Order: sequence, then structure tokens, then C-alpha cells
Amino acid sequence: MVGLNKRALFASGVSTLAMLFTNSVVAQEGPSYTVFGTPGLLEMPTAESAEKSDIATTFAYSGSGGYRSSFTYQLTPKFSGSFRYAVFDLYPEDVTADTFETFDRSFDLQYRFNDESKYVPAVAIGLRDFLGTGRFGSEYIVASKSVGPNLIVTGGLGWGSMGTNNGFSNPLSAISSYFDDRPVYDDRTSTNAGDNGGKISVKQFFRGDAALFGGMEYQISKDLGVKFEYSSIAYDAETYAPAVDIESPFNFGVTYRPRPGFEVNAGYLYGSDFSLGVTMMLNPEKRPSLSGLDPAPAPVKVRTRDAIAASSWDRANEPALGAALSQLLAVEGVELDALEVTRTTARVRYTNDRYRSEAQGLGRVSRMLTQIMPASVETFVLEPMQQGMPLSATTVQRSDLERLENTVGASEALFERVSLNNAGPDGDMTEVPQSNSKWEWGIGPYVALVLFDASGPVKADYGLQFDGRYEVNKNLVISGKITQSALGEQDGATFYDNPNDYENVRTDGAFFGRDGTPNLENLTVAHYGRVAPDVYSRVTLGYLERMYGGVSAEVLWKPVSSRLAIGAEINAVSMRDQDMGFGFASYVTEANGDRTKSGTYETVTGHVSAYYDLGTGYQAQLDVGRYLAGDWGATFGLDREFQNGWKVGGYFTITDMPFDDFGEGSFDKGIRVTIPYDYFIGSPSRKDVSTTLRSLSRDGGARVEVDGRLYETVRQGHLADINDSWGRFWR
Amino acid sequence: MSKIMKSFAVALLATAAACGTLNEESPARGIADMVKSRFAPTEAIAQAPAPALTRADVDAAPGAYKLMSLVGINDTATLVPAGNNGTKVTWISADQVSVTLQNGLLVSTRGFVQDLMAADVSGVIQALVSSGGNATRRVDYLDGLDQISTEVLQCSIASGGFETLEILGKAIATEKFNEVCTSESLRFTNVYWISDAGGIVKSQQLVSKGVGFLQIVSP
Repeated sequence: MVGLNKRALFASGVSTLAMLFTNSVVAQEGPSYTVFGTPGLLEMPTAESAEKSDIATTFAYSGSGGYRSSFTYQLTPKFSGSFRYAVFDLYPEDVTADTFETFDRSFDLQYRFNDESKYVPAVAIGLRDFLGTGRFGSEYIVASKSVGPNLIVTGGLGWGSMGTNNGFSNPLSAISSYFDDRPVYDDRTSTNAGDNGGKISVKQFFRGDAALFGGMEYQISKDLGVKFEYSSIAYDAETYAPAVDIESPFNFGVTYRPRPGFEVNAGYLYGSDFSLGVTMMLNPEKRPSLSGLDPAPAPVKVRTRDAIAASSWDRANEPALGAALSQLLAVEGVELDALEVTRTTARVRYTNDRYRSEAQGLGRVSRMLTQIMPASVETFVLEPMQQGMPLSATTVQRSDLERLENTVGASEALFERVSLNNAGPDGDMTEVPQSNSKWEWGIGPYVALVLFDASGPVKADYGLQFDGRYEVNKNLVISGKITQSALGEQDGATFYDNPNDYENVRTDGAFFGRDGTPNLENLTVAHYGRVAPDVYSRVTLGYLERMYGGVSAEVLWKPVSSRLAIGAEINAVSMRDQDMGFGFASYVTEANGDRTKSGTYETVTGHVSAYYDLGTGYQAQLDVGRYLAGDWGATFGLDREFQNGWKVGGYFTITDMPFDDFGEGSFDKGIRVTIPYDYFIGSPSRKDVSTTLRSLSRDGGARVEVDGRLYETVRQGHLADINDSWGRFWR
Repeated sequence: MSKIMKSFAVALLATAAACGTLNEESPARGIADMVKSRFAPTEAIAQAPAPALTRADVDAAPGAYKLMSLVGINDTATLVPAGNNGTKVTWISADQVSVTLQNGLLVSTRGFVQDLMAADVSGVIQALVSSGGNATRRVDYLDGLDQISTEVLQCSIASGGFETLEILGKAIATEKFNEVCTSESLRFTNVYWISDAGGIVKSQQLVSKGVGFLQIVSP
């Protein structure tokens, strides 16, 4: 048999893909990005929006503006949010004294009221740096209008920072004298530079002087554009204001998009400085691998009428059938755990190790069943398992598979015909001996970011990691990870100052694993179980994470078709030695910077959690309980979840730790993104990569990080998740 | 080269030597592979020539093979039947790409980067039987968000004259038919070469925008 080279097919797919991308440039030009990483001109916004769900990451630098790295997410066609992390110089309290470098986090929001029409411009309202320390704190209203196909003209009115260049009396004063003056932001009046920020600066919104700004952008060709703006930011020399060397309000720039999703920006800013920026755009809705590179499934094997009539079944054959099915499912990356076959019904339990989509697993398994099950078996009951927990039971009629295979609308038609229930009892099932190795390992490189060590705000650490995993049985797994940095011994962090009497439960984090010896990242024994039809359990014992070891126990109530789940978790932990070996210890930092052991830190944390699927792709979570530093409070999280496994969301934690004790940022909050591997690599994978962009990880609202919490595992086999990716059933 | 050796070589190329089952897939590597193939679509994928199907193979087992290639890509795969469901036959390549044909018309593919999930071509078959006419074609695709979208196309089928094809050294007299299909977002032309015996001996049919046309030959 002659084979078609798979890699050639892959390549052809990808090269055609590149073609598609190229073709879509014209349609997908979209707005260019500012040095603040938001759609707009150079420093000034426009009323343009990126494409829905676009995620843009921008790195920009200019000599006096400093570094700005930003992350902008177009949540809806009209609403966007940004998170920024910037390094720049700040005027001290006495503005005539030397400036100093600061690390600053900030958040923006923009809402566009309308789409541009023939005579009416698009109009948007926005807040810049409304949640951080407010160094760039501004509010604005902006209008943009295209003139012909290549020119967009923008004009706007700004307050705050954006109201400082040629500012005039606030037009809103006509409504109320409240708008006459803008109160100075808290920390600018404080006597020390270390005030916290992080609170919404509502008191300042739209108050004080206003100023006009404007500009235009001209697209010379498909990939090249020029822009110009008149900025309304004066960068006045004020206490704790950005120290920008400004000589002119006119800024000029060039944008270059050599390929979609990638933009290079160069500019001449402030009449004094050149700037350079790069923006990368990703859209969760546009998977580069389109429908994926999964190899073809086995087709449905159709029974003849005669075969059904002639079929007979004896349960004594079950082990042999199980062994054969086990081999077939192994082809699909699915491990058969148990089966029960009667004359008319086959019930199988299996663990899908390959497909992110449990619906695709259902499709693959049911087609394999048609290959091997006696013809008299009409009903398939499929019970996917994870960590030895059967998650649900999907009942599929074999004749539906035969009838609907390769027909238009098969996906929807089959969904209406299947039923989803609780997994059945273990009772009558025949266990299938495992063929997979119980021992798995891997060695590979790792890259990690270290925040705020002595050498600067961000630094890359890299080296080798070793992963090991031993499956004692389906429910009991030992796993661990060791890393060895290539950098050798490193200094600990020196940036943090801790104004509080709480234990440094997270702020000591940057002292961990810095001595150049191998680091035991984690080493745990974890047991999972299903204790009642809707109740799941987990107990994890060992070195849970970099900083803590102990025991973590969790229960979760999650009915198969319910939008709501309730969980409870309790952790009894002790802080690990900062050498990340096997010991437990807490340290204090001496006046000379040395770290000395001071004893141990033991604590009990715990949460009651509610998870709710709001529908239309939104997922909410509320955790209430006790945190690592002994503070009590709650965490609220909201995520936009895409059917293909992407998640973009945010969270905040408020505890009884006073804002002043928490330190900079006032309370813990952040933005988190999860990207499934298969989005990039194309071939099926259950793995994903998650990142949290947070204001500093500090001691308030801190939690133990435990691998494999129940909700994310259990939900995969439940109605909402199966429904989300049901389109993959026939893939 | 064995599969393991191959992934080992790729890992070395990516200067990220990962081994063991727990580290065998990484997005970094996936992206590196994607970038490589985008910048060097042909050089990056050197391949050994596969032994070609011969006339003797075909004569020894008539109807047991089909040849498949992507239009514009010089690489041919041999397909063998993997299953049938009514009038639909699923053919599969050694590299686990499958196509399902109904009377020679493509109704489904699996294993391409953007598969044709299903197609209703009953009207097109009718029109071909009548040597021309109009038909509605419905097709299902799986999008980047794992949702199925159905596209309805209006197609017109007409003869494009007579051609004698040479397939694996054998001359076959055919009549060529063009099927022009349009919808709001798609417009394409499928071509069928039908022998005197009434079978489709060769065709060029669209899989999807992302994959392009598939040429299928019945030797």
C-alpha cells in the first residue's frame, strides 16, 4: 500500500492556511495600536475597536516614556479592557529633585457607542489607568470618522492626564460645580512614595480641566500606514507623575504589518524621542489549525439485518472482547477501564488521554464499538473517566450512528438523540487489565519569568525539568517535578517592602529556589474518587507547590446537567524551606539582607466555592474562606470561555487584611488566560497553558496552589462542556 | 525513519531536546513547527519517495484502490476501502486520512486541517445522471470554535466535452462535467470525468477553503 506522506499533508494544510491568512489581510486590517497598547494613534485613543475577541499584546519603548507592555482584550464588539505593566521614571515628591524609576501596573476600559455610518463618526468613551496608582489617570470621549478608504480622522476631549495640555474649564461644570476641580489622587499627597493605589479613582472621574486632542491615520498600502496626533497630555512636572521629557505635543508614527496579527510601530514622540513598539494579536475564535489535524477515525461499521438476527452473546466472552476493544481504543489514545456487555447493551468505561473534547472522545469510542460489538448490541453507554472517576454516562443508539454517519446535520441530529446521565454503578462491570505503563516520565527545557529580583522587574530563568508520574491505580497517582536552573545561584528579590506584621506567605516567594541546586517543584500523592453519584473527592498529600507542603482535601458536588457546582477545600500546610528541598522552615531577612531561619510557618486554609455556568460562554466562581496569611475573605472570578478551550478572565480577592497592610495594589486582582495546546499545535491534546497577569503577588488573599482541583476535571464530562464541543463528535 | 527518531530529530532541530512521554508535546514546538513550515513549506519537509501504485497492482485487484492528491501539491496517496455505509464508501490512506465517496462524489473527509464534515450531494448525483442540470448542495464544516456550520450552495452541472484520460498506462474515454457552485461565502467548480460505463474515473472536488481541491482517481 502506498502512503501519503502525512507531513506533506500537514504542510499543504499549513501553507494553504498561510494563503488564507494573506487573503484575509485586506478584510482584517483593524486599528493600529498606541504605545499604551490600545487601539489608537500614538498616545491618544481613537474610537476604533479591534475585532471581537482579539487579544493584543504590545511591547513599546521610548527613551523618556520607558517600557510599556500591555494586554488588550476586545471583550465584545464595542467593549475592551487593557492591563499594562510599565517601567518608567517618576518625579519624586520634590519635583526638582532627581527622578526615580518605578514599576507600574494599570488598567484601561473603553466602550464604543456606535458603528460609524456615512455621516456619523464612531464615538467612544474610555478610562485610562483607572485602577492602579493613576499615573496616567485619564478619562476621554473620542470620535473617529473615515474619510475615503484609507484615512481615519479622530478628535476627542480628555480629562485628567489627557486634560493637561492647553486645558480649559471643564464643560461639565455647566451641569454641576462638582466638575470644577479634580481632587489630587491619594498617593500624591501622601508623605511617602509607597502608598498603595489599586483603588478605583472614581472621585477624579471627568473632573477638573479638559483639553482637546486629535489626529489622523493614513493607510499607504495594505501593510504600511502613517499617523499623526496632537496630544493633550502635557506631562507636567508634578509629585509622582511620569517624568517625560516633553517639548512638543505633536507625535508622529509609522505602522507596519508584515503579516496579519503582527504589527511594528515606530514613532517620534514628545518632540524629543523615538519610540519602537511591537504588537501581536491573537483571536481565540480563529484557530490557526482550523478544525485540527487529528488523524481520521475508524468509520462506523454498519450491521446487516441478517447479522443482527443471527447474533448471539455470552458474557463469558467479555474478557476476550474487552482485550480486543482495549487494543482498538488504544489506537485512539483512549484507555479502556471496564466494560459490561449484555445482548443488547454495551457499557464501557474509558479514560480519554488524547482529546481535549470529551465529545470527540465519545465519537471515537462509539465508532470503535461499532467495529467490534456483537450485532445484537444496539445501545452503547459511554462513561468517560478522569483520575479514576467516572464522570457521566452518554447513551448512544448504534442505529443512529449507522444512519447519521457522513450526513449533513448529523451533529445536531445525534445530539438530540443521545441522553446524558450519571455514570452507573461499578457493580457488574468487568475490569480490563491495563496495558499502559504505570510509570511515565519526561525531561525537557523550561522557561520561567522571575519578577522583581535584584537585577530588575522581570527576568527569564531557564533550565531543565524532570517530570515523573506513577499510577498506583486509576484513582491514586504519585507525581513530581524537579527543575535545575541553568543560571546557577541567584540573589533573592529585594524589591518588596512589607509594611505588615503578617507572615510573608507570598512576598518571600522570590527567595525560593535561588541557590542553584535542584528544586523540588512538587511531589505529591493524590487520590481521587466519586463518593456519591454527584459528589467527587480529592486528597493530595506532599509537597504541593514551590512554597508549601502538607495536605489538601476537597469535595465537589456537581450534577451532570447542572450549571451550578459547590465545592469545599481544606488545606493544612507548612511553609517549605526556601532551598526547595525536603525541609520546612520560615526565614526572616536581616538588616544586611541575609536570610536566617526563624522557625516554621504552619497554617490551615480553606474555602467554600460556588461555580456557576452563566451560559453564553461566561463562567463565574466565588470562593469564601481563609487565606494563607490567616486573613478571611472572598475571591470572585469571571471568565469568558470559548468552546475551543480558550479562557480569558479576571478575578479579585478582598480579605480582612487592611489595604495598607496589603501594600501596593491594595488587594489581589488579576487577569488570567488559558490557551489549549491544540489551538497552536493542531494535533489533539488535553493540555493547556495558563497565565495570570496580576498586580504583585502579595500576602493578602493568597492561596495554596494545588494541582488537579476537582472542578476543571469533573466538568469536562458534564453537559455544558460536552455540548460546547459537540461539533467534534464526528471529527 | 521511525516515528520516535523523527520526533527526536524535530526536537533537536528546535534546539529544545525534550524526551519522555510527559514532555513530548509543547506549544513552543508546535509554534516552531508551524513557523518553519510557513516560511519554508517545501524544504522543511524532505520525504522519501513512496513506491507507486502500478497497473499490475490495479489489475490484480480491480476496484480496490483509489489515488488521491491535493490539487497543486505533487504528492499522491493510495486509498483502500475502510468501510461502507449504504452507498457511501470510506477510503483511507496509510497516513490516516480518509475520504468518503457516494457514487464517486466526495461527501466527507477526515484528517485534513479543515475537513468536509458532511455533504448532501443527492441533487448533484441526479444532475450528473441526467447529463446536466441544477442542484442544491449542502455541506457541513467544523469551525475554529468546534461548532458545525452548514453551508447551502446552488450548483449547476454541465458537460465540458469529451476527453480521453490516461490513467496508469491505460487510456479511458470520458465525458467531463463541470459543477459550478455558489453561496454567499463560497464559489468553486468541481470537475468530474465520467467513463462510458458511467463511473467517475477522475474528479477534482473541493474539500474546504482551508484545504482546497482534492483530485481522486479510480485507476
